[in-house]
Amino acid sequence: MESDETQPALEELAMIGVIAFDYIDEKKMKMTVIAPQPSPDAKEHTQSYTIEATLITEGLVQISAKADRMASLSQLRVVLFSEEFAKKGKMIEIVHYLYRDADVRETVRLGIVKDNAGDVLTADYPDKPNTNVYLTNLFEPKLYTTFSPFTDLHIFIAKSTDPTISPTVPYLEVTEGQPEISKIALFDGNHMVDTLEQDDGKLTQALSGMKKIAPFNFNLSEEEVVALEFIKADVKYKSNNNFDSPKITIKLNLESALDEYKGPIKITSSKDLRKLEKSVEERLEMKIAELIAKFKKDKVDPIGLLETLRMKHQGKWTNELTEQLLEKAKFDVVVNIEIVNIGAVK
Amino acid sequence: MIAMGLLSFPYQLSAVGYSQWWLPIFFGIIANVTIIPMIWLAGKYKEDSLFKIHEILFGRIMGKTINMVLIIIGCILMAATVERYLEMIQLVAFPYRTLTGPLIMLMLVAVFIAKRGIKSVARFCIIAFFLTSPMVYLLRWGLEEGKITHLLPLFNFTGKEFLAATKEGYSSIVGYELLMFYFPYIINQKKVFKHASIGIWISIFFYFLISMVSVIHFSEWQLKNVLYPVLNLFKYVELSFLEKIDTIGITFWVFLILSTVSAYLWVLKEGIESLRSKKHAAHLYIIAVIITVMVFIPLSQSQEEKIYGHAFYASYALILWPNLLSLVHMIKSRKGRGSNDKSKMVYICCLFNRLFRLYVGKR
Repeated sequence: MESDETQPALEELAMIGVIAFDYIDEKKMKMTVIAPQPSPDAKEHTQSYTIEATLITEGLVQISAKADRMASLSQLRVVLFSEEFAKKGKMIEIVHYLYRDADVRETVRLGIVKDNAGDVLTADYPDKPNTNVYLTNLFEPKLYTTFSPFTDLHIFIAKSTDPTISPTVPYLEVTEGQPEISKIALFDGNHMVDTLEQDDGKLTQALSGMKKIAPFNFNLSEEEVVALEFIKADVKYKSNNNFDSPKITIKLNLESALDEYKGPIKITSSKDLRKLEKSVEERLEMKIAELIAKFKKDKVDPIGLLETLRMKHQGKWTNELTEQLLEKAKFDVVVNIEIVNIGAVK
Repeated sequence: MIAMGLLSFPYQLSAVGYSQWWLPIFFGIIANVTIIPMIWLAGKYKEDSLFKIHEILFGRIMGKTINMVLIIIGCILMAATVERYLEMIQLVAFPYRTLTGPLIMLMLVAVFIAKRGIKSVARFCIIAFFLTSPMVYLLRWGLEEGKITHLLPLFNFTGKEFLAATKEGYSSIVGYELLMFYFPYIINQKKVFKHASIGIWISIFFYFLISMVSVIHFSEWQLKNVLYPVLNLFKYVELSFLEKIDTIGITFWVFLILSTVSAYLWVLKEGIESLRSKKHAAHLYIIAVIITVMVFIPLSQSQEEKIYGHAFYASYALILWPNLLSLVHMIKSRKGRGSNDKSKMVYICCLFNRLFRLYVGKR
């Protein structure tokens, strides 16, 4: 560098793509970063560094000292946290730091890892060209993974500061050396409190107004299994506007295609189809009711169930109000399924 | 009208929370009403700018003093715009550099534009409009990730919050009062009201769009704490062929800054010319140097905020100023027609009486 005023050249920067944070104690954390190695002479295409630090900037300075280049966050794509880190409520500090930094884009995706977040980064993926690209792609939304919210920096900040809704973050588990988005982490403000299964995640997404949701299988009974693919989901909320005994009606309309069916009845007529629709509807209504009961128990609301009430509310809306209303509220769930397509073969 | 203010507009309105999105329309109505006296007054003095009108109405010495004050306020406003923009450019585009270079470049271009007179300023404004208005499309990404239900309820604020938001937010709208300075250069003076209204509502449309998208995109906490919501909205854009569109967007913003700065520069030059009663090319350079020095003066953040804040309130006064001027004009012209032996005192009493009535009426 010629003087301290010049911007460093691109080759002098280590463009960090993924960071992982692990919990050590109240003050210290373990930071693991990976950056692509642009030089074709290197054997590995990913450089990784692990350090212990109290502050992120301190960590970046340490990494720059270890690396042959200066660490930069401007190409950051994914940030991973260990479950312990999130449960201790330390995650919000990091997220706020990154949000404040004008260099970091807002679409950086967040993820929670079950055990050790750093291990996901340093593990070998022999069938993948580059860990950086692989992890970035893993967190790109695809139709079949829409059960996961793919929360980015902006969404996490928006939801954690909004009293009517609580954030959710994809939850990663490593099985046989392969990371997999298996669940959804539920947050109560800044702390991670619980996880949701994939099916519940799909329902959560549908209930929060997502139009396209991932395919669903139901075990209607011991020997009856249905797989449905959804063409369009549409949800409507209606409340009685009574803040003393709130009652909210949720109407979920699903247009779907029947993918697979295994069971005793042969679907030959539209009458059979209606019957099937009916039983799936009942099943879904039950599932949603269970889901809401779970939210009530955890005192979280990742859907924004009370939004219809807020729209009619005068004055400041607080976290306490959400908690009170969520406890008092009664929810009526009506699911309407229309199977419009059973495939090209009769 | 559109410069730095638009970038942080939703932040300034954040006192009223989610209900802010329709406030720009309210501001537009105020702006449209306040240009009526401006145009009425300017129509009475078709050949003269506000500086000249002051001298005609208040006499030479008094008029020049008022002009002097106006010039100082103008300098501060201009310095404020330049400095705020540079601060942000540093944040976004040049985190490792000092800002001397960009500042000098900016001022040079502004001088270059203002040198050819108001016509070239106007032409530049038109270019700036067409170059920057397509950026509205970038709001799409922000709109997709948000909750449209944030738009309701409509009136969720107290009177105090409303006043606070108006006080902060209207400072972004000011700028149209420059009309009083360049009125004599307008060719089709009869249609000024129509054209000025169209101009105001085009600007208001952009303000409206940005505050609405911000309400949908952000949570209330973010509205209160994110300094440049437009920047954050740009940062949310994801294009497959281009990264970090926000840097491009913010650097493009320089067109809007330049159109504002060059207009101010031209007005200040006119002011100095009327003050010294002669024309000279050096005036423009002197002002540019003064502004550059003002931006360089190392003041603490809080002092700067204070000075710039007061300057913006002064521009509110300037918007209401034509009301008073019109009054003085009416009294003066009546005096010209009526008996001349009435003592000056009576007129002053009359003036105060009217002022008082106006004040009471406003209440």
